[in-house]
Amino acid sequence: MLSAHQLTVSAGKRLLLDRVDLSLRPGELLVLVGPNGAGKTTLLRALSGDIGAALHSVSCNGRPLSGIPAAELATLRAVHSQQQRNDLDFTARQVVELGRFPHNGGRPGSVDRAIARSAMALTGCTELAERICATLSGGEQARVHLARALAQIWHGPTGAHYLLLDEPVAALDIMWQHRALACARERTRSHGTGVLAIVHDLNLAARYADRMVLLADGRIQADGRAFDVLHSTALARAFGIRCRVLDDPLGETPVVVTEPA
Amino acid sequence: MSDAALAPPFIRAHGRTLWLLAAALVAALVLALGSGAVAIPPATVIATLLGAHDDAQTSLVIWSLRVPRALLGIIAGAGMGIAGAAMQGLMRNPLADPGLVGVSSGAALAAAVVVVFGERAMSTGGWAAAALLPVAAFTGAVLTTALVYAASRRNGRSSVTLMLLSGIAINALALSGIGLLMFMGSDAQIRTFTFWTLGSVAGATWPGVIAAGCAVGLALFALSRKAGPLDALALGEAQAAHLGVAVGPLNRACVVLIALSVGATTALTGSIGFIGLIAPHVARRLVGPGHRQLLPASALAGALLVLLADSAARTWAAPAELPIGVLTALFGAPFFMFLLRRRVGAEGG
Repeated sequence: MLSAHQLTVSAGKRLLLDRVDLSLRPGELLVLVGPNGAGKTTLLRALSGDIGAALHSVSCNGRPLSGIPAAELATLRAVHSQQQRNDLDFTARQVVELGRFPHNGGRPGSVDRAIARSAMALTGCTELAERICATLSGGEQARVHLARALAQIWHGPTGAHYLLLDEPVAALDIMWQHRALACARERTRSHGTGVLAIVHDLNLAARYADRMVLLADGRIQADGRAFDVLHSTALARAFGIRCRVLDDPLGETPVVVTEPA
Repeated sequence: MSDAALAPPFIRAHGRTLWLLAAALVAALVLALGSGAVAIPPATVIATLLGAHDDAQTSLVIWSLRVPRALLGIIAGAGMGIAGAAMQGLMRNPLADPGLVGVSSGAALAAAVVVVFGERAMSTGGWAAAALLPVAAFTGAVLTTALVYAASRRNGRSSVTLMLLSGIAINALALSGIGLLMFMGSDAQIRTFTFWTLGSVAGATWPGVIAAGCAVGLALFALSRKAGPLDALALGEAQAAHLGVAVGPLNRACVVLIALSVGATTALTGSIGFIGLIAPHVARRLVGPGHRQLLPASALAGALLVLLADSAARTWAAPAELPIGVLTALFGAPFFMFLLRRRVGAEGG
């Protein structure tokens, strides 16, 4: 389990996260929703081990992050953040192979290359392999980096590795939004990966989430199945919207229709 | 899809490319040893190097004049090449160059301070005195590299604009410092300063070549061991940390090793501009961006460039010699303009 316990993060006098308790279980796809500035990315970064002051409040498989060496942590969890430009002419394939860095120290072997190929096939990057990553479109780059994150924990210890995705579908077209989240969910079933994803589209989130968590003002407002979270008045309050929740006659997930309050 | 978006197809053959570069360097070395006031045909050069030619005068010209000079050129070029490649990797920015951002000027300023104020210490002779200048240049290079690195960062990211602008400021500051020292210095000292600002490999001596060779060799060896982490750093500091790279120690090690390389070469050759910019670009076209191949390829390309530039500088205006720094700037500055235009075009403003 990747857990935050009474996690508080502040920037100056502003409280970004206020005593948050959250556990990401192996084999579940947890979708984090919430308005801009709610603290979603801060929570993801704290769980990633990026925030020094939060290391003692987060534990991975029962050990506090402060006690796990960076090189070991890199074999237990992968992070896909909204990436930055890379001007050094690395090809898409080289970027994905960098995901194997924790396992090979930067000398990819045949196993690493095979894993990179499989990961690229999953996210539809095979055709892009020899293109320079920086020249790809935003959506294509997002898929390349998703493949890199998948490659990093490809053979993670069963039931003890995690994938943290910060808006993985933000730049993707509708087909790839589905395929990316379906791919993440498939990893939870086949490899027992625990996946946490920040997603803004509530219907898309509801369609794939095993569990939804609503974050607003640095606090968890609702936590549960999509139906529970989407029904809650907390949702309307958090986003400042009115919403109707309908039953999809053909599916098992709710459909949210939103309008301004 | 434009051609530029595709990696060069020969990237996969990069192991062989390194050997080709090395072979080109050897060929350039034979040419460089043969050219000068007395032209010596390549066959005689090779025979002399192998000890099969027993003309005492040719042997003297080659072994005590041209070989140290050519080796110093190779070492300086290699040093600037790896320093440029490492700096571009460290800042994730292909426009980084130790000369452009003021590291060479910082090293030259520190060396100038020693020349003016350390005259008595230098005149005592011996190893300590000989080491004073390179150590000062290294210290100046460390301080300026750290300064540029800190000044060009904002929110954990390195900004091209901030890097180039702080480079302008640091260059101006260092040059004004050198100007001030020139005002205070004697005529002989002023000639030394001119040498630093123009760059030259003419003053090569065997002890200098050996010392600089050790420093550059150490930097190349140590940076090559960081090749994997430097690749990961290309994804950004946060992503590199997620991959298990200890980013802070890596950054500090790179700053010190870049400074070691630049400091050691600047102390002996002055600032030979733009090699640190051009060599990694040439190398990246040949072997791709992976640092395991890029660092040695940049060293070879830099060495080749300086060797060719020095041969040209000696022959074009013979019997006079063009300052080599002038020549590299003549080609390097337009190349930099070209890169800048392409980069600004890519950024859209």
